[in-house]
Amino acid sequence: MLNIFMYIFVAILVFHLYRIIKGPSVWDRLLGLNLFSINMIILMILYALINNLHYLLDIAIVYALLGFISIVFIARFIQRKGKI
Amino acid sequence: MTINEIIGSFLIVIGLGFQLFGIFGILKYENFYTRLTLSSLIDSAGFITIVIGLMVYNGLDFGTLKLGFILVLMLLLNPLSNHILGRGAYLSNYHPERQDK
Repeated sequence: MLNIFMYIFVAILVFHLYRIIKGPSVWDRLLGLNLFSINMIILMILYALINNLHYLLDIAIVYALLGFISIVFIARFIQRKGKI
Repeated sequence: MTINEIIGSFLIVIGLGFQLFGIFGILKYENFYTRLTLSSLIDSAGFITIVIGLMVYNGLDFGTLKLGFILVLMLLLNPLSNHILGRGAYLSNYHPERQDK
């Protein structure tokens, strides 16, 4: 049952990738990156539950934190035009 | 199909519905700030429903505790990252002219 959901989430992931590539401005791309990392977390959880690999859930936690920190600093970098 | 799986799958489908609404909204509106509010729909409503559905699907074991931790973490981080994006875009005076049809 979860396999079907994985296919759907990969499709959603591709859409966010399209948003990252097409986004008219840098901020749309950052928005796409944010959504991309969230769907990546869902995919990780799904894969971990399907194959009963529970250590992948820890990696999903770390990935959530890294995704958030990267969004913060990229937005800060762009907003300040290069001077953190 | 145990009762856990049925309820869990039902919740996941609902969360998926929220995600698809958000995606439709992002496609429809050209304005960045409208997209930002819609993306928070995907983050909060979609993600939380899906993770709760997965927790129900998984039953009671150590993995569900980790899923709960991810849920609490994302509850804190997602609104914050949306706020930072909106603030950064606004302060660097990015004002796309209103094109949403």
